[in-house]
Amino acid sequence: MSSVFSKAAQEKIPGILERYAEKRAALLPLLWLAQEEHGYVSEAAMKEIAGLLSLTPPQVYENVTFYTMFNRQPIGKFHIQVCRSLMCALVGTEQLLGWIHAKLGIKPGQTTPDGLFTLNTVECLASCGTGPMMQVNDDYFEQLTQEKVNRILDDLKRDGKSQLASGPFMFPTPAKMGSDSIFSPKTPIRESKMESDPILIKNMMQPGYTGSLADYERAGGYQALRKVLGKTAPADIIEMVKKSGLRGRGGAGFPTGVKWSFIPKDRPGPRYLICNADESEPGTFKDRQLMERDPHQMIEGVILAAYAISTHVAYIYIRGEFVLGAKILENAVAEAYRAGYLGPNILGSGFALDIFMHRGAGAYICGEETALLESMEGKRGLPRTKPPFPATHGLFQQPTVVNNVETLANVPHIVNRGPEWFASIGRPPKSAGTRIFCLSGHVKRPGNYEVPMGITFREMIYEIAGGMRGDKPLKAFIPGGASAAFLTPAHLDVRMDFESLAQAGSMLGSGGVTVMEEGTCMVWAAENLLQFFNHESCGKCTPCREGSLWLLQILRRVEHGRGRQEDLDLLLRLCGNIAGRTVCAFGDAEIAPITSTLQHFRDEYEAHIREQRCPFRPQPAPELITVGH
Amino acid sequence: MADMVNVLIDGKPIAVEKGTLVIEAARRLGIMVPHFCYHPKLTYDANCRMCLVEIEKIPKLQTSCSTVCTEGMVVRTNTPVVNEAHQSVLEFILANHPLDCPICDQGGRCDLQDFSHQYTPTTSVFSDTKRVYQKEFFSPLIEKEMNRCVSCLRCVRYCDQVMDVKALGNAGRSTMTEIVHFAGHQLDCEFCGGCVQICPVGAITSRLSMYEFRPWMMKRADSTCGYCGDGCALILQTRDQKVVEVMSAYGEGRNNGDLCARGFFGYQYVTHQDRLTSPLIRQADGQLHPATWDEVLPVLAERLTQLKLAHGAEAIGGLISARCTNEDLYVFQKFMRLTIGSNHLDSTPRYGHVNAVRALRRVQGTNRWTVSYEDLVQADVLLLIGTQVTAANPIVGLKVKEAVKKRGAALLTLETLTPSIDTTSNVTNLSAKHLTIPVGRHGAAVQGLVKAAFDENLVDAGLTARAGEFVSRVRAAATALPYPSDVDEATLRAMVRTFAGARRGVILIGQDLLQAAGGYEATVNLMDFLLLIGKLTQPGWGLAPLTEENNEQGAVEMGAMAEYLPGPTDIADPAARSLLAEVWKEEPPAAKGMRLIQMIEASRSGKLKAMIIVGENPVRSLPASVKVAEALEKLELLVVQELFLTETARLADVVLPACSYAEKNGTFTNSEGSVQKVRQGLDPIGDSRPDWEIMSSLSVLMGYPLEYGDAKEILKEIRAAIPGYRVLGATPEPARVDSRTMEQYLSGGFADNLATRYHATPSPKSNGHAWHLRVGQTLFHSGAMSTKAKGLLEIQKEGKLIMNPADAERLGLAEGDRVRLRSAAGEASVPVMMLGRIPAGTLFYPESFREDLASLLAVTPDPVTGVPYGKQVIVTVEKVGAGGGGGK
Repeated sequence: MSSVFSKAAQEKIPGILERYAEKRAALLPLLWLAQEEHGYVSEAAMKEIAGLLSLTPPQVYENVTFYTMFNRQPIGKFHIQVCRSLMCALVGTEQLLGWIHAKLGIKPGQTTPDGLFTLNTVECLASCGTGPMMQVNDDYFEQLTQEKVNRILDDLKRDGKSQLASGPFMFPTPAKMGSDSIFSPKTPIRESKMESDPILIKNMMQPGYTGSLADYERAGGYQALRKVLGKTAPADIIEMVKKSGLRGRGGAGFPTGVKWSFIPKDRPGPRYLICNADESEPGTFKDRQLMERDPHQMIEGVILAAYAISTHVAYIYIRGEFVLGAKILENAVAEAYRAGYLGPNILGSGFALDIFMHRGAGAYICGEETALLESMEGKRGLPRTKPPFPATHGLFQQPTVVNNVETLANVPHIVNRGPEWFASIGRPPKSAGTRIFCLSGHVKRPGNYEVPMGITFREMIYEIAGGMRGDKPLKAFIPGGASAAFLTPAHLDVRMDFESLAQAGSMLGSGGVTVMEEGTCMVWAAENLLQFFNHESCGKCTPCREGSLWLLQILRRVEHGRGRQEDLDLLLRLCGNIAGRTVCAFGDAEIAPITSTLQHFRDEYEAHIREQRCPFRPQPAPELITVGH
Repeated sequence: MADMVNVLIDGKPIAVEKGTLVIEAARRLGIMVPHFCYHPKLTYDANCRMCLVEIEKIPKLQTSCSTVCTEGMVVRTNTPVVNEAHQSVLEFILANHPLDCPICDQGGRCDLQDFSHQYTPTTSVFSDTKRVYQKEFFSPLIEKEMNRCVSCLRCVRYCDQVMDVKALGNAGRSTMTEIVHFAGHQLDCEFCGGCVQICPVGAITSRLSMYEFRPWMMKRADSTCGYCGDGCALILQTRDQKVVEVMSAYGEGRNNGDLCARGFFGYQYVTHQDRLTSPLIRQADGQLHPATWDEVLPVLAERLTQLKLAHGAEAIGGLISARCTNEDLYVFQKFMRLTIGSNHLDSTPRYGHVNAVRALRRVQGTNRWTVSYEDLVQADVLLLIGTQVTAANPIVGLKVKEAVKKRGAALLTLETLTPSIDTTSNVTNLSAKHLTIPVGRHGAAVQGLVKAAFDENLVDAGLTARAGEFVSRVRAAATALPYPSDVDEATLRAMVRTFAGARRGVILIGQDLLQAAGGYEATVNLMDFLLLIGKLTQPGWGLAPLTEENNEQGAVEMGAMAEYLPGPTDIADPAARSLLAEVWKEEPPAAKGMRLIQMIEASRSGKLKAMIIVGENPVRSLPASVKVAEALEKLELLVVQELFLTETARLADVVLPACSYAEKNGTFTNSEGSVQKVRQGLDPIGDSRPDWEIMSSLSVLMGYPLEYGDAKEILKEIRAAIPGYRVLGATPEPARVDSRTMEQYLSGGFADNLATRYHATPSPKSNGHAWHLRVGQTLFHSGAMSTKAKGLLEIQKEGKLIMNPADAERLGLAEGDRVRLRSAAGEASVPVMMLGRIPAGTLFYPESFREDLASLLAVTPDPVTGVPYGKQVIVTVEKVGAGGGGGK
């Protein structure tokens, strides 16, 4: 029978199937294989993949339509995807689209007549500190200006690629490594009186550090592994991590050691570790940096965690858009195999571990751990009803731990330097360690900053991130990714730790701090985020599926001068009907921008309604509808 | 009891088994928690969020469909907070719902309507733009209206979890999720109608009755399906002498509310325009002309009486279809045996089922199953041999799927199918071990099973002690044979190990085995197998033959066959004869009766002068080479009772219009032995009458009255004549092995035909041009009746030769191309289609379109059981050119 796959691709298939205990889990890898060959996933490809995986064509089709990155029709040779989410929108999405339109004459959803360029707007690409930005096919182009855009488009047209593509992620660039660098050890921070060495980004700050295995080893890498593998009992590692106070860095902040200890000790059969590298909370871009710049640090963490929970298979579920990160990690994993850090008998300890990469394909919800598990199993990424929890019924219904990249990257350091050391950093016991905060929006120096938990937002925004862009007054900030409630200048002295933010009515979340200056329309901001949430709602449960569109429609009306006084109470009532009533935490997340802006800026909503226009914009903002599914 | 927990729901205490969901516990208390996505047949998904309840000590509201009862749990389903939650979910759903209830066929029986009525205010604050899905054509049978969908995914889950079909998916995401098939293509599936039945709203409805009713306009009759032997409970919904729809309710019947395409979409033949509405009589011009009953019956009675007087009762024979009710069948055989006085009678089981009946009666003393459907579901191993279960017996297929998918049973399959996934289910995909058996080789595989029982040392030690001769002689016979060369020995032996090592196991056999030469011997050998491994008499174990038509079991048990009296008992059994004589006040005739093929030949030779054919169509059912029409034309009198003017009816001197099952009362007996009610839903079409009533009238006119007031009176007599029929209903006690019969068999009975049934049958050599063609049952049709059902014709309107895609590619054939088939008997030209489940080198043709292949086939009657084997043939295939297309 003829195949849609080339011979070379066909040869890869058995190896892909081998990675999973259940064939179906190879669905995303095979769809990627098909799309890499043809630029889209044809019906013939879906049928052939169905046959390979013992699925029916409708089962493949429903998955293809769930993820935004799979094209079902041929598209332009260069697929330009402009980030439209709030963080980029604050710094110039509209201008960027204007520049592209000026150059190519196309608007979102259109393809140039020569078939070369297709333009779409997409949701957050985890490049919030470097907006405005776009992804063209696999490459990121960041910190765009009109001149840069013109050059890129010319390059692409002429050469098929452009040198201006972003390399491994590193922002802000450590220009000066001197004593006044924000990365310098022992940064004295006046108000909080807190200080700490950078831990996770220490290596990558070294000039010339490439993230290669040699560099990592030179910087002391894989010492933790040597120290404990085969020498310390797995249960003792779990104890160590418990004692350190390490909490999950993905958003929910669950104590990592406790999570590990839930894995049934004596249940026979496989168990799994999954590194959640599906970073997609708008405003968050730290994991991307950790993976691209120091992949072995995370891999060592994965190996240690796998050892602690006694698994022999670990997957890295990496966000589909992170093509560069995936390549870097793949190389690093290969290096680790060659060096004996992975494989059947790691460092002669008898401990065996395989790490497999698993690429997502464009779905925010797959960052939610049970949705991630479904997605890994080759199903639509819909969150599962809990209980049962992944610790007992995870991947393929086997005990599974899912940990965030930054969480795992901390583990080698805890093992190396001891839990007491870790527990002394930040604001223990509840907020021990450092966090990499991702600064975006209207600050002078957006980027990733690793600081001890517990410094204040004032220090973060005004000292570390250099203060407000153009020295305008601060109007509002989001402290922990798009799912966290907006805060105001009155909250500047809130400390950046789990408890303080919960007390302030928001959350530490994923560490994404988005700063908005005076003049930013809060209704527009909320509308922007609601579009994100509506686009990314998986559609599984009623309140979120139906409510997200209703909320978005109301916000859009208010922003565009068609609001009614009763809309505000309606918004609040609908938010109340979503809160706590959905399968996963997404429902609570999507209402946070609305309830918090209504709480702090109700007058602004009322002004929109009273004046029947947006008071901040002479022209109504264009509605940038995200396409992609 | 340790495995019970006590909960308090709305102040009412109840003890439930551990693991019970709150929503189920509430239901048992009569408290209905509103829900869309929950369904007891499906694993919970908790997506609709409608069933939120308050549980003490848990701060957030919980979905009662996914929360398990724990000891001391206190639940409240009707508080202001809970009601407000229900209201809010409805508000979200209704925001985008089109509110098109006036034109929605679900209106009046819609969960969304009912809950809205109960919980929501009559005004809506939604004033934005409703989400609108563009209308798209989904399928000729199933209508999809996504604007009404509540995204509960019951349909998708049913299609996967219950049917194992997976033809439905949930595409897109967020507010625009929708139920889809594949990439906008028209739905291609099993058309079981399950999605229509399980949809709580009007999102998925049947197109066969679209816009034709409001639920309250319909009259309901609870009846039993007239297609296959599974015996599904049906609800006929009728209006103005039309069946508007057929459905089945969850929890009802042996099918527990599940149906197949035939049951759900195959009802329209009942009111087909070609139904016979008055008697027809052949007049001097040689044509059939309408007449009244009063004109026809006296003439007919006189003619029959004359023929009987002139040539003796022996000159009259009868055939009856197993589609008839037990009451029809019983009166028919009594009419033949007493009014006429002849034992020349036969019925549908002659085409194969009688092989099983004879084998089971010989070894276990009863033709009935010793297991029930529940035993299938609870088995931990199931062995399927030649069943094509999804096509032939779809609901038994569901029991098999349930056993495997929900309860983890090991499925062993010896089928002329190969695992291959598409959007109709294929049980071999679920097999733990599977062997693809070439057409006609199931008997050889069964011999291999018996041999393997010895080779694997699995013979029951007790049996060896008790029936040493049986064991040693069967051992000698079976182990002398080689393993069949066309099945893998290791797999076969592994299957036997799995089967014999199980706690509870059932063997299901079907038409590929029973309708093939050696079907009787193979069934006896399977009984040997069960005896040898010591399982035959164990509870939960048994051999279960499946029947193709709805009442084959009934036809046998009513004695509508030459060799059986009601019971069935042997026609020559003195005890049975005298028991029957007590009821009948007369002994049945003693002379040996002729069977189907013998009667055809006797018609040809002039030995038979008259035949009464009730619902059978031998002109069509037997191949051209038998020359049935030619034989029947020789008769002096041919009487046909029918729904339609069939090929056989066209030859008749008198055609009498009969009622379909929808127009009469009575009972059917399914494969499993459940005797189930058939209830009238329509008045008889035209002047048609129930078959039994026609014969009853004739008997009166012939001076030997068999008078019954209604079907119930007949059943009363049946119950007197057959002890088993005292139990009516859906949960029968399975029959038990008669130990006297078994001991007789073990102590010597087995020796009879031992050599013939352990006789090597070499695999037919293929010279590279020979293909094995099997004519058999498909899912979408059954006999010729279904080809009058509009719904089924929408799915499959013509016969197509089904072949393996690789074979087709090799022959350069595309879907719809025509091929010429040649056999020793003749040739035929038919279009082809491809299906991966058909093994290479094998061809399959739907029985319901067998007239296309009439000239290819030949018949060999079984010397013992008289089964006319003629559904398998070796052919050559050549391409005749492209064209055709359409249909399935």
